[in-house]
Amino acid sequence: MRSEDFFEILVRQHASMLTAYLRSLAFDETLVDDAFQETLITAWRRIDEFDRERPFGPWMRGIARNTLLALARKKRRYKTHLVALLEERVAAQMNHIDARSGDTFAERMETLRDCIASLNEEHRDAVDLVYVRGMDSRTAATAAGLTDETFRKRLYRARLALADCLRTKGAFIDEVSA
Amino acid sequence: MNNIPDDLLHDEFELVSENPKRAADSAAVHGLLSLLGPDENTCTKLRVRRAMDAIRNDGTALRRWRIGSWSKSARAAVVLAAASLALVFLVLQVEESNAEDVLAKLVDATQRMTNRSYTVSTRQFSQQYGFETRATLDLGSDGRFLFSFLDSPQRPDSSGRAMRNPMMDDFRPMFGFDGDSFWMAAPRNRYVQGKDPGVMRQLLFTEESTDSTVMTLEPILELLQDGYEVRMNRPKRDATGRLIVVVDAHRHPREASPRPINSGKVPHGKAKGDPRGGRFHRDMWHDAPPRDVRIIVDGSNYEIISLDARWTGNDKQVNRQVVIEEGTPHAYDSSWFDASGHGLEETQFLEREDGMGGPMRGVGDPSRGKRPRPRPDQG
Repeated sequence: MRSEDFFEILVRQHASMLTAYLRSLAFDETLVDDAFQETLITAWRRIDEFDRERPFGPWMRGIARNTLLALARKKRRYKTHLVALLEERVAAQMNHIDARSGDTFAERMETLRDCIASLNEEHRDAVDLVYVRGMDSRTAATAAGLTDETFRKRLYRARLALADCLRTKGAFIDEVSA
Repeated sequence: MNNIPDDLLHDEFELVSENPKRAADSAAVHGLLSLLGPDENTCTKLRVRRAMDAIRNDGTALRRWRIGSWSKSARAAVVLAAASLALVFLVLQVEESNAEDVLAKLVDATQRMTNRSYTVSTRQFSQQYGFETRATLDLGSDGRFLFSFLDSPQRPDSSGRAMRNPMMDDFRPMFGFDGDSFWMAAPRNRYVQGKDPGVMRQLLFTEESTDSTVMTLEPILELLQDGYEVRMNRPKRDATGRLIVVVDAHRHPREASPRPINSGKVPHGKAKGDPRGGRFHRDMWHDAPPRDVRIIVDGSNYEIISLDARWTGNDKQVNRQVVIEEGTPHAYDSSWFDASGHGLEETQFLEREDGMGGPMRGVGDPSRGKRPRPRPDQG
């Protein structure tokens, strides 16, 4: 088996979390796609630097962070300084999910689904319209009978409620260690 | 999850200075939620494939990644995962071989095959979007076959995003050859049947999408006979001990478009009336040819185990892929390939005249061409 085949196996195992990480920090799907590809290519080129005693996911997301910042600088509308402000905690939450022993990725998502089920109806509907059915915010707002701004605020509160739930279930951490 | 609007995270970013922890947690939740979206698994696989294609096409792919220094558990995990993918990633030493002989063996074996089932996945993707349409292909005796879509076919819009045809919503086309004539279940409870394989192509491609390339095995094999560099690798055993042969075909860079229909030689095509060769298969093949095709063959009888065909765009990135893989054969049933065995009794029957380009009576006008079963061409 060739080296790149081994690499692909590892990448497949961590691809979903990489996508989630990039989407957490970039609100532009094109940027996410570009960063995803650049991250994998960079990771392959620097694979000799990878400490094989350490987990692969955080190492790859570290590369993704730098890749995202580099790509974002080329896009005027992207507020690159915000990545730095948010990244440490987002990365910590992703790493914590990655490190949960015995969990497959599907099981981790099952925890998220449990939390969605525990939301109140308004929040659950908002999450369903956008993230499950794939509507854009304007269409989802219309479907919910709300203005776009009101809908987005509702969706934000739904995400905060989900974060609280994930924290309660141990999937998120409360404090990021220095 | 391609529809997440760009502005959805503005709220978080506005709140960063106010409560960065909550903003970051909300952003992390946003990322996780995005994985719940429709076709997300397919999109992720396609992203990985695109990136790996770029890596493999780059000289840096030649570097060796030494796993000898890995921890025992890391090695075990990778070896375990690798074993499950061994069939796909087997790297075989190339051995020069006569391409014509190889393809002749493959075509002969494919024409002999009976009672076989394959899954067919057609994946299309642009820079941002990707989607997959799945189908099954069942092969019976005397040329009988049944091709069934498992999803409502989709087609890309101008940006490459999957777009459903409202006329096809919840409809999963099915077509085949029952030993006597070709038939196809079409949208809006229509059913067509005729001696000409164009019955299927006309309805499937003109009403749904000219991009919905339907690929069975022989069209590709026929295609590879012209304009491709075909190499057969030395036989090896896969993870299950089965002797396999990997055949790689790469399209010559300057090769022109494939042969037009009904022109030039078709060495292994059969005469009209045999649905597995000749015009039928060329008829089903109407798009630009794939750049690379990898076929994994059972080394004992040259039957196809899997086939992976990839198309590339001007940017050299793969933009379409068709994967055909051997599945578990259905229990043989004589009605397996017969349209009457698929719950179509209540559908409208339409007959198409023989001959390419001939009129298809009744199409578009439910009042015409309606006939009771049994089929008129049977009496």
